[in-house]
Amino acid sequence: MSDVSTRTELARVVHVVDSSGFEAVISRGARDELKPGQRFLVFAYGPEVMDPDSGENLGRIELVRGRGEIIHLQDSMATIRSVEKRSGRPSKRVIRDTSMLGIATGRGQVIEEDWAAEEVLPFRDISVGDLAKPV
Amino acid sequence: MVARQQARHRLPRTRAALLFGGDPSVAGEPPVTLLLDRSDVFGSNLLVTIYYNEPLNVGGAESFEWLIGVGRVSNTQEDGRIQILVLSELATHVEIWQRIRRREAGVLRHVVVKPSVPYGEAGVEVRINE
Repeated sequence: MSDVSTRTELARVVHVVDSSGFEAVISRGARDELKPGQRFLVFAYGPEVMDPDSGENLGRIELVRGRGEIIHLQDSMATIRSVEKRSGRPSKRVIRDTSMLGIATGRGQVIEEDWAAEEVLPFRDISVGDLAKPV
Repeated sequence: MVARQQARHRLPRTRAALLFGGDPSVAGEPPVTLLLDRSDVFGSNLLVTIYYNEPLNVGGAESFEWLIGVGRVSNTQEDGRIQILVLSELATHVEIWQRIRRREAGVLRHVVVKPSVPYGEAGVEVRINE
């Protein structure tokens, strides 16, 4: 949610593991009570943005590099791997058969089918110095 | 009608439209990201629906609400503003999306984002006893 008062200090990207951009290392670790599987959103500050109607300066936009999950913890660092999926319309089919016939024949169940295989994307343009916050 | 107008006041204003991010392997223009004012009804990664309120009469308070797209909350900024990554632009409203992409003055004040997705618009097909 958008309660800025609860924000903790931001972590920084201190290393990009390989040029493909799927993994990066951030400046928080086990001593900051992070746990494997925790997710971070990586971003960098972009240019200032103006409201086209009022002309008000809205501040600097946060350019989202992607979201990652902790896969390895060290005392003061953590390695995160991208969990960002290909953007697009969600694609899942849910079929529920709760009819008596469905139950009697063992078909009384929920079937979920992905219409398209999900593909994980690398962080976009990630670089050392980018910021990371828990999400 | 009154209840609907009151409910609308709780929705954050759309303040800017930006073109960045998206999937680099997909050709074409980058997706639209809408920047909304602070709101505590938009959670991380929530699917949302994007509407365009077309005024029914000049200067009048009544408007018709067109569903123009579906998106998701891609970021809650440190200043509390909400970023909405547009996932789907309805082909029936190409002209409105072109105006949004051009950042035409006046167009964004008619764009409303709601933290819910109508049945059938989320790309999820649900069939019960069929």
